[in-house]
Order: sequence, then C-alpha cells, then structure tokens
Amino acid sequence: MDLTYSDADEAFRAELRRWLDVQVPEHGPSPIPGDWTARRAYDTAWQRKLYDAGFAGVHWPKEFGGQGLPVTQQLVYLEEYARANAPYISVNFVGMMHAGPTLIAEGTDVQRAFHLPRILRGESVWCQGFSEPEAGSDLASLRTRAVREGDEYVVNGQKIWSTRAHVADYGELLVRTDPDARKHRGITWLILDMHQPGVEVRPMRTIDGESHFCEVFLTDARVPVSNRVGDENDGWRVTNVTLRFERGTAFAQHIITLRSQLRDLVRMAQRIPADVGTAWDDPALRSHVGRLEANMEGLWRMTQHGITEADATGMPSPSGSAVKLRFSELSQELSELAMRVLGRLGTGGVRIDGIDAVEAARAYLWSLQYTIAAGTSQIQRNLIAERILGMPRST
Amino acid sequence: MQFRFDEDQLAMRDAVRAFCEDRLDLKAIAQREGLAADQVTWVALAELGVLGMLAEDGAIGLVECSLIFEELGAHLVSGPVVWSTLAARFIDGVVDGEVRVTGVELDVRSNTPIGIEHAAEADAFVVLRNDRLELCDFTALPPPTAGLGLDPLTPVAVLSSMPVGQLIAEGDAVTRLRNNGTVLCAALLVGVAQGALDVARAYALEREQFGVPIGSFQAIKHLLADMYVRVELARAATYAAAAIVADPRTGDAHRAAGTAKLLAGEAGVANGRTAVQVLGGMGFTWDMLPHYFLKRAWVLEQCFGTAASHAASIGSAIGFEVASR
Repeated sequence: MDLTYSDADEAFRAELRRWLDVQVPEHGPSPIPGDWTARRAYDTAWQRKLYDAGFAGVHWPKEFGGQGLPVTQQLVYLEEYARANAPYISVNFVGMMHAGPTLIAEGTDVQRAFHLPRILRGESVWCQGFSEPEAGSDLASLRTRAVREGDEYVVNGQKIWSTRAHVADYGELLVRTDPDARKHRGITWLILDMHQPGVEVRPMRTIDGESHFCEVFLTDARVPVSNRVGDENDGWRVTNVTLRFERGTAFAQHIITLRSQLRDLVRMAQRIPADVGTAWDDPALRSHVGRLEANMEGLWRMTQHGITEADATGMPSPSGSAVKLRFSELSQELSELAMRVLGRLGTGGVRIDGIDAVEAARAYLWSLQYTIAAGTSQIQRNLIAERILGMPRST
Repeated sequence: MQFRFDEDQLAMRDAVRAFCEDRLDLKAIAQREGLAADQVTWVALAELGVLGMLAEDGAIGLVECSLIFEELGAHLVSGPVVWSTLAARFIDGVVDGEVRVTGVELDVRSNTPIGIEHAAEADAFVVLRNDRLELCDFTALPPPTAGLGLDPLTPVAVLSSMPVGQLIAEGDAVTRLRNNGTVLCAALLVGVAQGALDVARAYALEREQFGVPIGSFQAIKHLLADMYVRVELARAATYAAAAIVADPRTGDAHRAAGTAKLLAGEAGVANGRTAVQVLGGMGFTWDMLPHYFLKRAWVLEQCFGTAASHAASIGSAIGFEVASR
C-alpha cells in the first residue's frame, strides 16, 4: 500500500506540466459549440501537438506507437491534463480510446500499420456504429445486415447514436453476417470508410440543442473483407474487448473533471448574492458539496485501486461498472445542484462576472446522457448483480 | 503507487477472518446479546495482536489495522475494540487483553446525559476533548444507569455528567489518535456494510417466490447492486485514508479520514436498511441478521463524527480552498 508517486513519476509530471503550461494557452480557446468543422480542426491539431511532443497514446503499447507508460504515469498524465485545463479528447475519443485499442488487440498487421499512426497523429477521426434504433441496451440484437460478395461485404441497415459521425473518417461497424445463428454468434466487426458511397450521416438534435450524435444510414455500402477485424461472426467477442475498455480507465479523466466542476460550482455560489451574504453561506449547500466531494474522492480511490489491481493481475477490475454507475449519478447530482444554486440565472441563461449560467445549463442537460450512454444505469446494476454478486440471470 | 495490499497483509487479514468465523460466529449471535465480550475471546483477540497494532510505531500500523477492523465489523465484534486499540499506546495492560478501555469524544458544550458504550466491562475510561485525551475515574461518578441501547450487541451505560479527567496525551498525539479512531470506525462500518450485503445476497439466492429465486428479479438485483457500490466506494476511501493517516505526507489526513467515515457511515446505515428490505418480512424479525447490522451501523455512525458533521467540514474546507485560489 503506497499512495506516493515515484521520482520517475514526478519527473514525468514536471516535464508534462512544463509542456502543457506553454502549449495549452497557445492552442487558444475551443471553438463555439455547434461548429463541428472547427471542432475537428481544433481537436486534431491538438492531437498532432501531443504526438510531436511524445505525449500521444500514453496508454498504448510502445510497439504500436504509443508511449507505453506505466499506469501510475497514466494517472499523472490525467491529473496534469485536467490541472492544465487542456482540450478535451473529443473527436479523438473513439480512435484513441476504442478503435485504436481494439485494433491493437484484434486487428491485422496491415490494419494496424495503416490506422494506428493516423489515429495517433490526429489525421483520422473515428466514430462508433454499434447501436441501432431497435438495438439499444440489447445491443446483440442488431440487424444491420452484411452479405459477402467476393472480397466485399455489402452492408444495409441503420445505426444510431454515432457520436461525432458527421466529422468522422472511419467507423467501428457491427453487422449481422449470420442471421440464423444465435444473436451473439452472428455478428462481425468491420472498419467502415465513412466517406464512401452508401453511407449517409444525419446529425440528431439532442435536448441540449446540439448535435453530438448522428444517425448513419447504410445502403449497399461495400466494405472490403480486408477491413474485417477478427473472424466472421466473432464480432461480439471483439466488441467486448472495446466495451471492457470503456468501463475501465476511461472514467479517470471524467472523475478529475467532475472535481473541478464541483469547485466551479463553489466559486459560482460565492459570487451569487443571497438574502444574507452569498449563496455559499447556506450550510445545506456546503454540506451537499462536502458529500459530493467525499463521493468523488471515493470514486477516485476506487479508480486508483482498480487500475493498480488490473496492472498487477493483468485482469480488468470488476468494479468498472460500479465506477461508471456512481460517476454518472454524481455528475447529474452535481449539475442539478448547480441549476438550483443558479436559480433564475440558470433558466435565464445569464452570463455575468465569473458566472456562466449558459454553460451550467448545458452541462446539466448533457449530464443526463451519462446514465444512458455506454450501458444505462439499470443495465450496470444488472451487470453488478449478475457478474459480481452472482445473481441468476433474468430473462 | 501501489493501491493494493501485499501478501503479508492479506495473510494477516485471513487469519483474523478465520478467527472471527470461529469465535464470532454470526449463526450464534443471539448468545452474545446484552453481554460484554467474553474474556477468553478478548484475550485471544489480544494474542492475535489486534489490540496492540497501534501501540507503537512499527512495520504494522493503521493500514493493517483497518483491514482487520473491517473483518471485525463484518462479524459484529463485541467489546470496546476501537478505544482499547487507540488507548493501548497510553495505558498499560491493554495490548495483552488485561485492561479494556472505553471512551467517548466529547464536544465541550455538551452537558447532557450521555450513553457510553461498553462502560460496564471497561477497566479504564478515556475522554477525548478537543486536543486533550483524559483518563477519567469511574468511581468518582454517580453510578451509571444501564442504558437501553439500540444495538443488542453493544451494552451502554448512561452517565448523567462527565468528570474532568487526568491528562494523558495532548497535541499531535491526540490529533493522530482522533484520525486513527475515525479511520477505525470507518473500517468497522465498511465491514458492517459488507456483512449486510452478504446476508442480503445469500437470502436473495435462496428465497424463492413465483417459483424462482428473488435474486433473479431486477428490483432485487438493483438493491443489491447499490449496496455493492456503496461498500466499494467506502472501502476504497477507507484504505486510502488509512494509508494517508499513517503517513500524512501523502495527503490531508483529517480530510481523508472524514471522507472515509462519511462514506462508510452512509454505506453502513443504508446497507443495513436495504438488507432489511431484501429479506422482506423476515428482515423485520429479530431472528434474522439484518437488524444487528443496521443497529451496529447506527452506533458507529455516532462515533468520531457523523456523516453530517464530516460533510459540513469537508464542504467548508472546499470553500476556503476555492476562495483562496
């Protein structure tokens, strides 16, 4: 049991901090919400800077172009990244966190050689084509059909909830290749070129008024067999490599961000006048903030514990679902508290000195997706009860 | 950074777990009601080294002690384990089980009758007032009335007033004692929360309604999943707090201890309540285990700061942190 960072970890921290302190201000403010072309340019240019400086892919193995850092330094990276308020991973998320790791684990040499450097350098942006209108929590019931014709699959169907697909170059595509097999057995994982004929992307407008997500319509889209990752009909297993990743270390950064959001809330409350003093003089608010902070600290320690445990045993920590579940709820509780503290400032969309109620309202609405995306909270509870606590599966 | 236990620590925990299963069998819990810890078990606990873990600075300390107190909590240990372990540093005879110590943390303002856990079986009584630890003389007090304490496994005596005692420690030593006590109570509560989950889980697998185990119903699964999340969150915070209080260079010891106690207190009480619910009508009976966990959780919730007091303190600290930046 040792919670301290080694000298090597601290040296890495110092080096990274020096770099971020110069580069983050230089990269400028993020583009206005909704301008996805600008967003893509901003995010990929930042990724290129990380790459050139030797900070891209801290969690990727060295042989695939990553930095292969020990887990403790990955944590240092996330801590410093948040401290510097560096650009959110955004359009690079799927490539860096899902597609890249999946190709590293399951891709062919040719696929890796082509795609991994492009992802690391910010040259290609990926999206995910998993969910379908009829296949949400029951993802394995997906119906997008791929029929093999010679060296190609011909794909027809519809995907939904593809994050940032409107600025993506490639998609992780799950298709049904054997409609007669049991549902988990007939699925194949393909790399989809988003710019090819037969792929139509329509942004969806969500409750925050923005378009983070898209529908993707596939009409006789032809995908070379060489774009298949893993064997035909083995896509569910390949997918689980990705999904496990999604429930592991990926939340570390979210938790750090959540803690800084909590401090933003306190800063705001200290500026909002109340009958006596400011909103922060309300003991109930202070206690609520104290409870949230304690929960976030617990979540951070769970993450540290899970990461070092996984590092030592080579097995992903089973507590990933628990972290995801608690994180999602805390995030909503925090942003709802912010709305309550803001009162009419929040509904009025007021921007005054040190208070950005528009952003707070946006964060509130955005937080509602955390308990839905990547496995709803209800599904996470089922997973915990069945896989960890050994309850019988429900039908 | 290594946020995990080594083999020696886990072996120590396993030894205590085996001891608890043998000597603190939950199936025979009714036999412990209303009683002090029996002397044979108490001495055996001392011989295992449990009561002396914080008596001097050494290789074994709060981290190991917390891991072990978690086991004691899960088995609803009898006797004043927290105060004896804390006071072993200052009072002779505690380490080998000859002297049992009970105690209480006392806000100077409180001057109302107060229930003291394990008073009847204790040989010494200490009071923690702010940064002073005092040894009090029982015999100088008006005789305590036996309290009707909530927890049948935690006998209580009610004292009508508190004496001024003899100073036995102050300053940093007391700050450390307070943080240690906070973490040990958190560790016991983590054990209580886990024990409640174990009972609920076993029942959900065994009890059938509508022809299937009730654990196959999502409504039950979700209750159990929430119990699991609460206990894991509290456990991680408690381990971290133990490491930080043991080596305050690694963090803010007071904050870490308060965080652990807050989460563990909430987990203990909520898991106790949820275990009652999962067992349904049976959970409401005296014969089943949930009520023991729930009641013990409430006793521990009052010790070394309630969840509410820690929340207020952490919240204010964040306020200062933000304002001063």
